[in-house]
Amino acid sequence: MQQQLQEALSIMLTGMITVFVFLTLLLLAMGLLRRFVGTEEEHPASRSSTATRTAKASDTQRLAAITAAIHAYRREHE
Amino acid sequence: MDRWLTLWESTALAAFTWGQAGMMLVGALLLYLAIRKKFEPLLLLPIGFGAILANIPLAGLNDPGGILYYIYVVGIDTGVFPLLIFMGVGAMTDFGPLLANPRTLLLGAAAQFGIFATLLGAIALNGLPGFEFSMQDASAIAIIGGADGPTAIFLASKLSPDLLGAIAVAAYSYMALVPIIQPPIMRLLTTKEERAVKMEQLRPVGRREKILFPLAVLFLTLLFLPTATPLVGMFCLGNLMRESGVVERLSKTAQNELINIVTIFLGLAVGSKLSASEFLSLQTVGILALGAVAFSIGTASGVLMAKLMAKFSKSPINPLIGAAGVSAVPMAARVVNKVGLEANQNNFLLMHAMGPNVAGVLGSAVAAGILLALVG
Repeated sequence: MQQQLQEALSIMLTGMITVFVFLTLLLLAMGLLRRFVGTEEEHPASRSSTATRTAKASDTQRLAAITAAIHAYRREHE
Repeated sequence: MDRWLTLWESTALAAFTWGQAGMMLVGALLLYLAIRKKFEPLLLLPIGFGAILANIPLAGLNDPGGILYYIYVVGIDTGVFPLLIFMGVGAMTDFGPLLANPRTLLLGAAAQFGIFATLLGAIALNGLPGFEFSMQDASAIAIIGGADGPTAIFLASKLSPDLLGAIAVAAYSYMALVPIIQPPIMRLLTTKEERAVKMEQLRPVGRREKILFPLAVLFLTLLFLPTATPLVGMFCLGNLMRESGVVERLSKTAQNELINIVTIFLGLAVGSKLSASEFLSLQTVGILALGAVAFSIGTASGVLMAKLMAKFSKSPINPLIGAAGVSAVPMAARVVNKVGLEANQNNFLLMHAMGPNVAGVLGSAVAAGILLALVG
């Protein structure tokens, strides 16, 4: 009985310390997670601006193609 | 005349033992609690009915060849059912509030003191005549303090299958009683000003963080606590299915159809362990008493830890949220919200309490892994 109680006490101490150490490690891991991936997503605006930029780029390309085509057409029919 | 005698002997009336009749009454009581009092009806109803079926004389539902026997062997002896339920719980869990305020993990850790203190209590009970708990029994009883049904059933099936019925019934009954057990302890340990403290709004959490979190949890568990990986692994799988957003069908199945199907069988299987020889004993009374102690100590240590953190924290912490560290998701968080509202009508603590609440689920799975490693 006495021996069992001592064993239970030591399991209690080991157990509580392990739970705390483990969850503290997890806490640190969450800190890292936030630092490396958490901030990137806080600027959804940047993603949309690149989207409009590519849209603009394709617009100018299309414009260039159209003007080139008009030029070519006019040159042929002069 | 002989024919009449044979017929009489084939009726239940002749074969009933007092124990079986008593256990049927216990089953009926569980049905009453489930239907009339709405105590965890999803589990107590199948458990209560299972208890009645298991104790029908001459039918042999619980012997090799009977359906309850097979459900138990397939689902609980193997540990499969509680793990499937844990996957569903993972798919239902939103770690957002925890990721937004990671410090609340420590509250989930502190509340696990209820488990380990109860372990000591169960062994101390051996000093009384009529109690003979082994270290395995004591560990399985202590996990009631984790306030998490599947974890309790999983650990009990591994460490002390004979006590499983009583442990599961105690765990689910006390989870239903959380709104009655917790508030007095919370009020006792805090002042009205402390309960009225408002907390800062939580930051929004990005999708990538939510996807990587279950993987990080699994990684740490497999490195440091492999015995907890069955529980934590299934939980993280469910959570990843939810957060990844690419397998919505699987996630929906895990949190609805699958968990419902498994719950029916889990309840029946637990009910099948409610036999007179194992349940109608002094040990069951001890287990019920220890379960209440475990819940109370877990609640108290969570609140005290939150008070300690509030002393050292720059941003305000309401100590009530510590009580949610016992898990019992989401009941404990709702209780925190309710007690908070009593002190300050404009103070909504629900989201703040969800952090320690889900931390408690992780904490009790970790504690179960530790107990398995130490005494299993």
